[in-house]
Amino acid sequence: MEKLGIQPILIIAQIVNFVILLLLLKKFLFKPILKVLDERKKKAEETEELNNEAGKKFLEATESEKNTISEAKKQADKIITQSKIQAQKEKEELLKKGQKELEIVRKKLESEIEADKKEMFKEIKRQSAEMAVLIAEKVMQESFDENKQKSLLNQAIKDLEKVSLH
Amino acid sequence: MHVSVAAETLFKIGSFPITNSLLTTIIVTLLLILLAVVVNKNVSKIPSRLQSMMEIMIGALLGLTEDVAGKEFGRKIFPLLATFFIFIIFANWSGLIPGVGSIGFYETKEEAVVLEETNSVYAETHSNTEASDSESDILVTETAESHDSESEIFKPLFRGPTADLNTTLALALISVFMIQFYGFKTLGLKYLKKFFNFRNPINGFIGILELLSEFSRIISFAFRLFGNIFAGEVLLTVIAYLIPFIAPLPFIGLEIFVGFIQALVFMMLSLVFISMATISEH
Repeated sequence: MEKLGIQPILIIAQIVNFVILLLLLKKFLFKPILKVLDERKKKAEETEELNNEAGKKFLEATESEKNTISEAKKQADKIITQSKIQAQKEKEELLKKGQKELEIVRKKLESEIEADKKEMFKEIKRQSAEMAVLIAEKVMQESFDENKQKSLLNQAIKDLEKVSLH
Repeated sequence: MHVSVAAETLFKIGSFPITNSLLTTIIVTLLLILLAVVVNKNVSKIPSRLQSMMEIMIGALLGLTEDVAGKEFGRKIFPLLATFFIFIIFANWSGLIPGVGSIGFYETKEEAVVLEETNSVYAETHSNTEASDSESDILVTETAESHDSESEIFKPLFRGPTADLNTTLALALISVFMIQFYGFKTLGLKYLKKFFNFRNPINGFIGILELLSEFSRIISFAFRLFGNIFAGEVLLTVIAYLIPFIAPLPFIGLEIFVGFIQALVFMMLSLVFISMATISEH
């Protein structure tokens, strides 16, 4: 034992030394470092989770964005086609209305013209009859007696009445 | 060339001998405590370089412990095992620092004999003058062999802590004690069944073997570490004595590796034995 230098008091001293070292290292080295390591691990896990969530949210957002855009496009298309149809309808209506009005105006004009025409022919007829009578009178006065005059005049008036006017 | 298996006594406080290995142990311990305090003071979420190093080391040790002993129990025994590793590795490496083992002083034989004699008196309390005479004879022959028969012997001021059997025995005793402690703590009185089982003679015999193996663990722990480190120091001394330049370099590298491996082996064995002791057999 002496040759190996074993001395119980030194063994005890070494044990005490080791226990002190153990306690101090535990307090000053292991606990704080383990705490930091654990915290970092926890934080890393949290960040990972957050990352995943953010990715999911982003995907969802892009999806909904796409949906909105397509929806908007659809609606826009709908509105455009509707307005086209509406415009077409209105155009047609307007045209119809215009035609109708035109028709009415034309009919009115036509009837007015017809009436005028009739009036005119009536006047012409009357005037021409008067003129004929006057001419006849003049002619009669020169070559016929009064009786003949009268029979011829009546004949002429009858003939005139027979003539139809166009 | 002077090689001594036992650590040399430098001086005494009362009857308490301060050996060079104890001095080195205290210095290493103080430096480790200083390191711990410095790290503790500057601990932050964004680690400094020193803290990163400590985090890597402690993270690796914790991983190892948790792998073998399970997450919860691993955490419990981690401080003990990590302290084993850190103390042993730095103790091993401290013996490789230039000056450790080579800086020292010469003492006359008579002074040395007086110191050693009182040591042995302390160790075994021989009161006979005969005994002390015979011991001084041994010492004289020893020093005569190792120190060219000069009247002075060389005493290094520092010596690697693990190149002293007292240190390694202390560590082995702590380790084996803690193995029994955790065995009792987790299994209770069932733990004793492993050693004292009288149901049949075979189990009884195995129990005796188990008991013996527990004691042999003290010896194997202590001598494995001591043997490796002391042999390394002897090897370095011999190489440096034969070829002082360049030739010792690869051996120093080798000893750095051995120092690491022995620290790891001590820690791993303690870890495995503790986790084995906490598993009930049936």
